[in-house]
Amino acid sequence: MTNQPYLSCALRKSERGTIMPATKVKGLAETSREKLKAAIEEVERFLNNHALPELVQEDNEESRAFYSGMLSDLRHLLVFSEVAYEKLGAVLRRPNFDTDLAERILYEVYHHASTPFSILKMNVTPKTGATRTQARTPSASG
Amino acid sequence: MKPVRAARDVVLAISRVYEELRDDLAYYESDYLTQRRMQSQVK
Repeated sequence: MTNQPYLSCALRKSERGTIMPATKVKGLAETSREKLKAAIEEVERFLNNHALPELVQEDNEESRAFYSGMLSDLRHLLVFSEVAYEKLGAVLRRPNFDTDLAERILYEVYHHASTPFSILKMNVTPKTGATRTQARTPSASG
Repeated sequence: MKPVRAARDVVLAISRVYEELRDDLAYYESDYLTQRRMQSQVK
């Protein structure tokens, strides 16, 4: 047995399985799936009804780069959200709920859908004062 | 540059959803990985 407190704590937790109870993970999987569905519908509606030429109102390179990047981010967000939605549906339909798999998917939702959305919002909402082209400059050069 | 209304509207429309998801799943930002690492250390 280790004399490191955090490892002994981990032993107790691993004996029980995961820290988060399976019922809570299942509940999170269900609510996350519903929320993803709502977001998917909104993004799909926007992408189906708006194209780059109509969004670019000032005919300049900055405006074109801004909306081109925004549409690209929305498409990526839509794909990630749809994949996560399908994965959560599959794990919830299993006769025996797989908590580890559900947690891996929820981890992906946090990092692949929720966090990129925050970046998208930061680029689109004007209150930040930073434009997308300014925000993208370092990665564009790299 | 101020985005056109449609662009702002779609981002605001999905803001609530993704921000709720972010709050709901905050555990998976770091605690989950920490737990996985600790479990792998004791195996």
